[in-house]
Amino acid sequence: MNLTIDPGLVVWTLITFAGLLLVLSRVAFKPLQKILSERERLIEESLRKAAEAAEEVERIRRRNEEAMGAARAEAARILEESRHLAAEARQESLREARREAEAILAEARNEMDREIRRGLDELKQTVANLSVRVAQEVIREEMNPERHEALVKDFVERLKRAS
Amino acid sequence: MQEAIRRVWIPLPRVAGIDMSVTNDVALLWVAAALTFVVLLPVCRRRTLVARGFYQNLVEGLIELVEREIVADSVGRRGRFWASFLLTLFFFILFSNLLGLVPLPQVFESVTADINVAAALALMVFGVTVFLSIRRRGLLGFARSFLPAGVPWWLGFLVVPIEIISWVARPISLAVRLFANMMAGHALLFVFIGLAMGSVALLKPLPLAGAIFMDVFELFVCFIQAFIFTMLAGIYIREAMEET
Repeated sequence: MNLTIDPGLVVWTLITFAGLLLVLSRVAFKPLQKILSERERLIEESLRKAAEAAEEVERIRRRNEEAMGAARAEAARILEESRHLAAEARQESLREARREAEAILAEARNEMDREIRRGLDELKQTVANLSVRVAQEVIREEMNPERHEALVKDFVERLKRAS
Repeated sequence: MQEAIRRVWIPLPRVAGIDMSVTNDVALLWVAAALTFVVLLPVCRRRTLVARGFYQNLVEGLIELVEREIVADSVGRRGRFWASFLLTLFFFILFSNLLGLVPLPQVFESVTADINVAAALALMVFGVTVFLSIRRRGLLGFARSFLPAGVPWWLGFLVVPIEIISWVARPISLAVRLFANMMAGHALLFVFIGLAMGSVALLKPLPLAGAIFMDVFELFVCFIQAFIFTMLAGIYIREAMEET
């Protein structure tokens, strides 16, 4: 600590400071300003890129949402169409089955009719045969010479009347 | 309070009646300047976009503090030279202050605790503001600025002396604030150390603890005084640049 006035020290202070200022401003502060400006530019660029990236992310998110919405709608449409087609196919299958069943039924009916007719024919034949046989048996049982002769006479008589 | 002994190291002839011999105080100025250079240069020339390591972060933090709190508010981007001026002023005063904390009182002392150094720095700031003001407004405009617009001319006899006093008070307040703070802090530190050395063994820890506390406090004061001086210089420069 010194209170003595020393003009030499005042001048040396000014000279020293001026020299230091000149040297520092040339060799230290100029590169520093450059690097600080570069850092500032880098930070601004990083912030700008971050903002752009955020916008891009938002844009992609919106696009994805739109695509998801479209995909959901397409899936719903396909599902609905599939249901519709399945219902149509089921109806068609039912119709086809019904047609086949009806055809089979009709064929069965025809076959049945045929069988019934054949059966009836066979039955008629059998009944006729049995009738003949029964008739033969009856005739054999009831015919005697007197009866036989009476029948012949009766036949001849009717024949005569007819002629 | 014992005055520091001024020792002539390199005798030089007088220039315009001023003794330009290199004394121990001048050598301390050079030490402070050399420290400023040695501390700032590696950091300023390290071309990394991101500060790495404690040292680089500390120095860059101080640089950015001055840039943000003082330069941005005073010269801004209008003059990189004046930004360099304020940065140099801050670090030069800081290291000049810190020299007093080196525990070798016979060799190192705060050069800013010398009124000549504090006055030289304050006069330099004053000269810069006058120069910038005259460059901005011209000599006549500068003279007219002592009578602010809107003040009646007949009040000039009262206002002009007040304005002149306010201008002249600037370097005085700058110099005295720096000088007094550094001198008082160091004087108090010496008082505690003297008490610690002179007291009986049982009581030695008390003044020693006071000296340690004052040492830490002085570190803070060194920084604050450098910051205040630079901040006021920045404000004066801004006023000189903005004067209309």
